[in-house]
Amino acid sequence: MSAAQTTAGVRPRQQPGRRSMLSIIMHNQRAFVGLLMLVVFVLLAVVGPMVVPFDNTQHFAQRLQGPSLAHPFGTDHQGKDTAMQFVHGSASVILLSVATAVFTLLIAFVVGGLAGVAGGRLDALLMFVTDIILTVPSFPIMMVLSMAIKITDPISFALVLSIWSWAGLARAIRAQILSLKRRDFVEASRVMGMGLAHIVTKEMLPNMASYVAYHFIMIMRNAVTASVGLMVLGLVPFSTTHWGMMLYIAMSSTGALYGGQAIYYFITPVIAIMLFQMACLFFASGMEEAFNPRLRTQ
Amino acid sequence: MATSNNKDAILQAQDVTVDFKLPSRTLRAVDHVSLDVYRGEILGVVGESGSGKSTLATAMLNIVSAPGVISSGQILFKGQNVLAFSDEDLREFRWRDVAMVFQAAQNSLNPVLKIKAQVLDTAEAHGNQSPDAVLKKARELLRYVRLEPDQVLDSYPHQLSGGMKQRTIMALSLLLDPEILILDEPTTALDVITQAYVMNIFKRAHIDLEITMVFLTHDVSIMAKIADRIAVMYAGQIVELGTVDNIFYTPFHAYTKGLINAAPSLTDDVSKRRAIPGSPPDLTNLPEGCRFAPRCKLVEEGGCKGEYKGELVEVEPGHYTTCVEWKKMRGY
Amino acid sequence: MAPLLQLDNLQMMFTGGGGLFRKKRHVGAVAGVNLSLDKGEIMAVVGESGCGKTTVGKMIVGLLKPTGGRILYNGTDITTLHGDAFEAYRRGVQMVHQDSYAALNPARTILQSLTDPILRHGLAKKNAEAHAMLEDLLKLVGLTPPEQFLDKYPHQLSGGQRQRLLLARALSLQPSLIVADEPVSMVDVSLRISLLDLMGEMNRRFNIAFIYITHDLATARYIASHGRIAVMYPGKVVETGNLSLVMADPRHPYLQALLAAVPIPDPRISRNMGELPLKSLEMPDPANPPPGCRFHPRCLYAESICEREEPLLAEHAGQWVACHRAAQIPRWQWQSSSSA
Repeated sequence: MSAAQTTAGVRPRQQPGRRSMLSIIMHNQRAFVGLLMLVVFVLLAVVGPMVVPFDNTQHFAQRLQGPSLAHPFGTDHQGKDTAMQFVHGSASVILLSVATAVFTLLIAFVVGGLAGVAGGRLDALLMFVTDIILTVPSFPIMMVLSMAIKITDPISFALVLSIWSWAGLARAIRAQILSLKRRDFVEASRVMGMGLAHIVTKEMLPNMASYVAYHFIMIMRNAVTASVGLMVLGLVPFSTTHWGMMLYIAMSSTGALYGGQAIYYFITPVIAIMLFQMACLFFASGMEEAFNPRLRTQ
Repeated sequence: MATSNNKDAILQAQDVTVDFKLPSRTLRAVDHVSLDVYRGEILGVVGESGSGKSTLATAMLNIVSAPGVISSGQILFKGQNVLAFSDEDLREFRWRDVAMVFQAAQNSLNPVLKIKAQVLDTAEAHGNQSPDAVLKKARELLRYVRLEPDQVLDSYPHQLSGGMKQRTIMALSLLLDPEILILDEPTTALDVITQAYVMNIFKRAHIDLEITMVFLTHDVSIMAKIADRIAVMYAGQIVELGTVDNIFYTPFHAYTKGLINAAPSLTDDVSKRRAIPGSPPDLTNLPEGCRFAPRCKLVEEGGCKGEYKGELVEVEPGHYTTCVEWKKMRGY
Repeated sequence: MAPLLQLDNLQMMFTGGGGLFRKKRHVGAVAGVNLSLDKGEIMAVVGESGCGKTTVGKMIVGLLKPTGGRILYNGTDITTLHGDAFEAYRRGVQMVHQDSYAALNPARTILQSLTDPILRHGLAKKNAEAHAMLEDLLKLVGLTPPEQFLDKYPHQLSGGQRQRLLLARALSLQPSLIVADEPVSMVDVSLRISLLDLMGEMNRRFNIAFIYITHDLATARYIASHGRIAVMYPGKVVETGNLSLVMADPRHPYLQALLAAVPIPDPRISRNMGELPLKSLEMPDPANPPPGCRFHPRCLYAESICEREEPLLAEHAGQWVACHRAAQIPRWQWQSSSSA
């Protein structure tokens, strides 16, 4: 927006340059679908366990059955209903991914924000640490950590997952803050004597909202992937209903990969994970258009 | 329309309309505009935001940017309809027959290539000439715009100042000997001294190289120095067209008069300056009839009802206006 | 009585570049500027890009810290201000940017953006009070009805409206000085005068001093016709004084060149003007200014003394000119316009 402003007959002004996050979602098909799917999952996670009772009794007689009216997704190797495990597992999955996203964002914000706002030596120090974390691959670290630390619940699992994942986001947040710092309206705030707290929270943050939402969803997705990976490797055996766990058990104890009815116990978590990832990706790509207008096709 | 038999119209826009299709409504940036560009002249098109002049220029080269479409009319270059050209013909037409220098053209230089490379790229894209011949020409042109050829050719864009970049682009635009040069706000981003230099160069290029030029600007004062004729645009229409003397000394449209009065100058009585009241037109919500009526002094004083007849009336030879009450403009 | 603002040998040296194999560049963007401004006075600071005028503006509002010299606000060095005195300075000196779109937070409504500073400085205690203040303020700058503008986002308004908002925002803190950096250059030509008139009105009604920074001599003349002018050439002031006197009899060759370059909306005059009275087009490199008078490589009247010694501002017929040959430079010929 510059000298072109005074002469061009048509400018982005005719099409709102900045829309609220909600309106962007409403107008973008992919984001909307993604959001819908995510809402379904969340509902599943929250309401599901209340509707479908947790039934851990083993009915060996009914093991490894295919889908039927009584068992929509079949049964596992211990005769437990797969669908029930799926529903309860979703609670675990959602809780885990949201917690990871929250922790990761918090750390990234503190580190990136401090670095961007303070500048100078603090910035250099923080970025040095960040860069080290960035260069060491996170998955092996998570493997080691999960072997070393006894993980018994989703929250501590979330902490482990977030400990090595905040670096990229911290850099991104710092970059955003550095660029916002130089904008005229931030300068104007400084001239008007507005304090640092105001500038960061009221001037900068609203301009980063879509960006943050995008990353929040992507972290959730990555958390699911990472947790499933760790569980399939048998490194985090604390819950039997988490989809990753279902996969692990399916592969190790039921011979699902070799055919037979056990396939349903395997397929269910796979499809669930796939759908969840799709939801995240759809929503995220829609959000991406929010802060990169050039991607908009309309 | 605005043609006369003894002049050679090299580029003509005939009843051109450009619409921008937005999600909720359609915006008409250029509304049934007809304009002739005569060979060998310098035509100035003056208009502010919302006037549609830039859109008209892009239409002339058939490069209206999406979501704009040319909904009616034709663009004739030496009698042939540009809008019907094949892609191949279009490529030749652009830059070779008609070159366009965009606003803030300095930003259209590729930041990662040296000027020399960009010169060669441009030439290559438009035909086969030996690199040596191209560079020789480029050196000549750079000297013409008072730049040091070797220094400029060997530099990256960021090593040149704004004025130098503007002159480089100008030289580049002349590389393929175009017959017409369209310049969109070529001096807006420049300092006043650089602007004066660049305008002098344009004038010399016009005389020495016999190029027809079309200048688009919002600053009517610049036109006084070099334009032969001036077209004034408002809200997508041409409201007045005439020689430079006509426009400056005897304007027959309230907007033209307002523009000249509203520009603070160095010499005039400061108290005689008058702003044009109101705000620029909202192209999605245009009034019926004369589009300038909401801001027109004549209307305000009851001298005009704000009608619009939709045509340019010839008030004296070569001088046209759309103002229906133009007779009342005398002595205004 | 101490002047409202005084710039005392103000300097700003930027250091940049420099790496393993390159020497650091020292850019003297402002190299010794002396100016003073009284309460309620309007001063136009005129110069081309790179002359340091924007840097001076930023130093005056406190965005940049000078590397040399002092800025005195009401007689006190601003770097020594604390507490209440600093608050008074912070409120007293405000800025209007050139790009009205960039100067407003795109994610906040006008009401939100403008309310916070009012509350912060205690000019209103509650939102409702601030709202009422803002309504009056918007009416003052010609944005009526105010409710129509308060709930909008910046992108929903036109350039001219946004520029008025910037002025309203600056006025909201009841300042004594407003630094306006090219406030009308991005606004349509037909609207510029109304904005300039508005600023003039604010100056007369509330006795607010204005520093109007621009490269456009015509608008400078319009707004500061009863004020003063300072012409800058990389880093330094080369001519200053009462604007109407200076414009009537410009002494510095650079100013004469600037005046020759301004387009005149009168075909008969402008088509008969010759070449600019300049030897070359290029501005000096601020990291490596020419010895002696910085203007001498481009000056038609330069002599050997101009290459050796830097001229200081000296008084000539009521104005201050930094030129060794000021008395010998031919007088500027004004061509009067024949049209209305």
